[in-house]
Amino acid sequence: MKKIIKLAIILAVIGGLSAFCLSLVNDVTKPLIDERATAKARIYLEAIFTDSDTFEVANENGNGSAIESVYIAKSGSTIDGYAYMLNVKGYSGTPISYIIGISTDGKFVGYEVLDASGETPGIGTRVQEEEFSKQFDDTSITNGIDTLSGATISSKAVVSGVNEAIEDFNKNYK
Amino acid sequence: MSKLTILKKGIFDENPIFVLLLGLCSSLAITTTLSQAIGMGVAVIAVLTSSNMIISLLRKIIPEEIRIPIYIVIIATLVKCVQMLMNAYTPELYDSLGVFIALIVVNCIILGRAEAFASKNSVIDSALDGIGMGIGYTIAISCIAIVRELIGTGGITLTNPFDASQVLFTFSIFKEYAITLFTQPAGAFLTFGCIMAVIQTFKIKKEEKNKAKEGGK
Repeated sequence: MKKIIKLAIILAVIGGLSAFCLSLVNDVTKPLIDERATAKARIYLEAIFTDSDTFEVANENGNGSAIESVYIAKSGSTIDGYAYMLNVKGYSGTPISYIIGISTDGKFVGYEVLDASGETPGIGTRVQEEEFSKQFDDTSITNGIDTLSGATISSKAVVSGVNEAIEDFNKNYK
Repeated sequence: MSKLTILKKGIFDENPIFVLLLGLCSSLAITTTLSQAIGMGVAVIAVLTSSNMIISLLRKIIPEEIRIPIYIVIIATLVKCVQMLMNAYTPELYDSLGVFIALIVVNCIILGRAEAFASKNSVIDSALDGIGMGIGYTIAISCIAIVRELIGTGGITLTNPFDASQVLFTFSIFKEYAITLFTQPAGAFLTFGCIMAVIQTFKIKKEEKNKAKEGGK
């Protein structure tokens, strides 16, 4: 009995020490990793709102399940539109993350996929392609987005995220 | 055993990939490009050397009964640290290696060296063993990667791991005749098999020579 307790204590001490080391390294690297994620998102934001010069984070942690963050694109002090960074579960639960842009007058102005690497190549990955993304070319958000036949699960997931973004836009920015 | 032999045996006589045949899963998966192979090799050297040192330091404290869970905790901590550091400082490499960084935890080379060497030898010897084994691993996967990248894409490109846009050197000789099969998993097995065959041939020849010498005495 005594031995078991001794072994448990040794293992616990080593576990505690390793947790301490991990938190130290995390403290050092976390700001850099976050900064990189923002920089990566910024490239896509600039691709959608080409004229805008500043992107303000309006909602760090969105209220919807799919909305990760909302950015307000501004040139000077006028608002150009809103970018929704979305993250949904695609086929077999792997995440698809993407950004959509909605202009102030309620039109889609852009769609950029950040990561759809978990989708089936040639099937689910079609959500990154022209046939799907052209639906976001300057069309009114009231029209909605159609799913892709043959890639129903992946595209449905993307559409559900888009609908959430539309709902949020109508509620907060319209 | 002298310090130099310890260092050298990981590279030649006990090369983890070509002789011990350990940790093949990740080494076959990440050897599509030379840059990735070198990046993976450096990560393994870092983890292997530090895990060997820590386990050797603690070898008198670690009770026999729970040594394996303790090794796993130590190795997992080190791998996680390396993973976070790579994510922060070498983001492109981190993205391309993906899940295989995390899988260093279960790479049998590391647990194997902890159990077979570090738990019985001094700190300096264990560190040398880690460096030697790590270099051996890096050389081995670089060989596989060079063959695969050359045949699969027709050229070799080595990028700076800290900045993927900076190309250290690149050449392309037969782009039009590249066999893309070699960048796929099947190509990894083909390459590995051929390299193993070459090494075995040399080994057998060497043994025969040694035997002939002994016979001549």
